[in-house]
Amino acid sequence: MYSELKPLDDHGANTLSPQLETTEQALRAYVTFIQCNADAAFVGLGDGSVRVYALSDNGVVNENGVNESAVSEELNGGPWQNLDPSCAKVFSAGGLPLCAAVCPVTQRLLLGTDQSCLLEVSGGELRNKAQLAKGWVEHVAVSASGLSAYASNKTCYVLDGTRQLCQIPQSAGSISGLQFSADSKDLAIAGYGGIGIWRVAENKLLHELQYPGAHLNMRWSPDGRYLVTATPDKEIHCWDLSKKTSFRMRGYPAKIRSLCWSADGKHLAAAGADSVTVWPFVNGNPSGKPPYEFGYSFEGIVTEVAAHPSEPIIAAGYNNGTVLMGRYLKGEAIIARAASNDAVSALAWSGDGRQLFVGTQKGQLCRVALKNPNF
Amino acid sequence: MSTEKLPVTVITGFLGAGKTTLLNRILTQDHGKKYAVIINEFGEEGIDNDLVVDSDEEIFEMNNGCICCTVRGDLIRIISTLLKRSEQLDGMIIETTGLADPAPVVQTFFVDDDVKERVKLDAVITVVDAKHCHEHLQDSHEAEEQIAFADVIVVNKTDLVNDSELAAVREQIGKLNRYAKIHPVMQSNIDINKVLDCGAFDLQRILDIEPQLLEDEDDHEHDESITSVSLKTLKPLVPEKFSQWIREFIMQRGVDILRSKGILNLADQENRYVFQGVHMVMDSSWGEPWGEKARQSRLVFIGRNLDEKALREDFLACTQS
Repeated sequence: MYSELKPLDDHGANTLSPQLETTEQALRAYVTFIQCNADAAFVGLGDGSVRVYALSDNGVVNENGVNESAVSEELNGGPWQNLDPSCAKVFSAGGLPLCAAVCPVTQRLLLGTDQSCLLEVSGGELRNKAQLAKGWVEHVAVSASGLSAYASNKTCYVLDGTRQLCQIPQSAGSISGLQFSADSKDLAIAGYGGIGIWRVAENKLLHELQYPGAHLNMRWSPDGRYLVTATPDKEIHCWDLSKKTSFRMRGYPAKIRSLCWSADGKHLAAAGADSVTVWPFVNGNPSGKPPYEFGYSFEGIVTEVAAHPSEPIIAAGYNNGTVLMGRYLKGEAIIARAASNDAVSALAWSGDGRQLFVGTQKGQLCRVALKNPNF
Repeated sequence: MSTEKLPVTVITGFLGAGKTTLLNRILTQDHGKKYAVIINEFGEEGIDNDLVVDSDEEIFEMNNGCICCTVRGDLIRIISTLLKRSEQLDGMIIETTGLADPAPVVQTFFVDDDVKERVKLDAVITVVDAKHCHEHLQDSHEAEEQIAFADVIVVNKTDLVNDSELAAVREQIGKLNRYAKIHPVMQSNIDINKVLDCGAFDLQRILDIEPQLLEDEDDHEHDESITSVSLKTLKPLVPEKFSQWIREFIMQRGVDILRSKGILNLADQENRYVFQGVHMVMDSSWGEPWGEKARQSRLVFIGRNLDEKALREDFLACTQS
């Protein structure tokens, strides 16, 4: 329990109310991802399991991790009740879960593993949605319209349900990121040397965004205008699709392991420094403007960032286990989890922004509940 | 962080030298240890191990303008993913293809944060075919580099050559790399402790075990394009002078410098200063305290067109006057 809030770093006064309730559980396996749907949080672990936690304290989710009233479906088993913090359900992924996404239409979790398959939570179990002959499924993406895409090595596959719409081979090395556009029409595929934007319905390459080197952690801005990646040179590369230009954000001392767009889509938060950096994309790109910063005195490097779904708040996890929630516009933050000598490897907000889930490399899972949403 | 870093062994060598046989010998010895093996392609000969990952060599160029600063993107991805598994490993072994350039492999361990934090390079092992070593070296640039990069050289198939031929192979290897430990073997048969978790990449550890390793023989020839140079002095080095010199030298000559290693006696410091480099990529840290040991700085370069006399003069100019 870390209910005690410490005074903030000197950068901002401790003006936020201590309205957090933190519970923690030792799962003893590397947390590879955390994804939330409307009713549950899904946690992927290094021991090959996926755990499901109901979001509501006395919430009832069915065996697919979905509140029964939300999606009507024939169920094989009865609903179960989640007794916080005990886990509601454990799935075996049959391999290391590498990546995951929740389909906005079905609310189901999709995940890729090192056993060459794409799995889907369905009928109370993890079922094969697609199986390749070899390779790791390292990237998965879903569109607002319910399409899914997954990638292994140099090939990306797009599915509508279980029907394959197209198979997109890449020549320049392994695929390092996938994301659909907000209108679900296009798929951005990151790889060595840049990003390709694919028009799915026509199975055709629309744009090629080139810049030498590797491109990791690709994120598309919600308005569709900017695509950002982290490069091995410890820089953020950003393409402005409307102006057909690109620029860099530099000065990071460490690998930028995580990038995210804020709820308003106008700010980009990044890991890779001893503070959380948030670049303003208000009135054009951030060229010539300094980023907002918070949380620089925690003697660690930020490894994960996650944007609150509606408020101008960024959650950040450090390589020493510290977790902060910061209102970046004001430079203020509160401590959600104390340092633990164990790097944060996954962070996810629930859709209502009332809970934050934290996973670490050594296998701690932490749930931070906001008692007051207006903290 | 505080956790012990996992040792990684890199096995290089020309096609047919016996890399895969060596790998299988290592894996099947009765050591009770668990290794993950990363290979570039599934060869005809299977790998006798539970955890084998097949990878495509993906060379990532860094954009900072330095042409020799490349890393292996596939290794970064695979190593970071293997580290997420709950299964406890005793180490990882990377087998490269016969034509692979060892530099990007080694540089990966200096450059990527995720890799650097969790694993350490234990040794670069080069398998050499005693019978065909001479022709491989004549025909191929890669063969030369693989020997130059090695910390340990396994001279295989010694049953196919006589004593004088073996001596010639040793001499040829010595001209390229005077500092690697050489193990002559037959049918890739070697004691696992000589190749795995032996710390051969760590100059300090290897000098503690074999203090004579860097001792000079005074019969240098300069007809080979790749040579090794060893510099030493008991005079303390002035940190500012040394760091300026090494930085400029590596900037200007990095392309030619395949490996650099050093243990330095910096003025007024209790601890040794240790560094390792490949081309322009360097990694340095404080080592053990000198204690009762002679405070001798040693510096080794393996590379092309090295002017030993000039290097020695420049190096000695960094000492306290």
